Amino acid sequence: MPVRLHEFAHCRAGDKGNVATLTVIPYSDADYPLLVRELTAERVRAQLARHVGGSVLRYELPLLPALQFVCTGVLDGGVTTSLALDTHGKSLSSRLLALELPSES
Amino acid sequence: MGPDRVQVAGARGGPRPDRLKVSVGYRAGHKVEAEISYSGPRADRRAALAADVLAARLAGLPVRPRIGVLGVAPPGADEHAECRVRVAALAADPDVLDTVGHEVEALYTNGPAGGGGVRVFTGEVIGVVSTLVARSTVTPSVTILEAGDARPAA
Repeated sequence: MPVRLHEFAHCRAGDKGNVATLTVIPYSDADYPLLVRELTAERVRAQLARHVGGSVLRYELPLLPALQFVCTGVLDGGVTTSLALDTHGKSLSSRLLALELPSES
Repeated sequence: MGPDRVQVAGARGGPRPDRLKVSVGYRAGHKVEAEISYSGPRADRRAALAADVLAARLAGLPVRPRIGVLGVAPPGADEHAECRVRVAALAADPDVLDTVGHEVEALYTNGPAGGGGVRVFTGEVIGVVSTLVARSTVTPSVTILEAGDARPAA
């Protein structure tokens, strides 16, 4: 049965220029391998396809543990010149958490 | 190491960078954001119609507006349905942007039924880009500017 990412992880968005970073942090360290296996850059790119104009690059941070996704071409050029309502892309974090993943069992 | 004790080892440094990052602010023109709300049955369809009207009315202006509908109207949740049409645009000429605000305000009486809550925001935009400069060209100093009309906090 699929589960939604928000049920076992949280996410924080950052911005720099036209780049958004989305860091996904599991509530339990034990769920990190599941995230590494299932939460690929391609899957994140597909989930946010309407919002990410460029590439998605994934960094693994096993000691935290967390995954960080660096998404380019997101912020309509940058925070101050963006025509979006959420100029920082902060709400992208919750959009990502709506992603459905196959459950462990 | 023990309770409240950690060991740190292997710390080392390298040469400081020869170049410094600079965030450059530039005058990027003016921005307008204008919104209007629709609620109740078929709020989403009335909002979509209003967005289409705006797109057509603004087509002749020298701007590329971003027009969207915020919110959804789930079936069976009519009394809670609420959708907000939002248009945003950048332009060098603020007068052009006034027209965008006027078009949204005009929807009160010349658009889908029940439009309300128009808000129009305009302001100058300072864009930010980054670059690098040689450290040798930089002399640090501090300049304090005080606003002439600043008042002390109450």
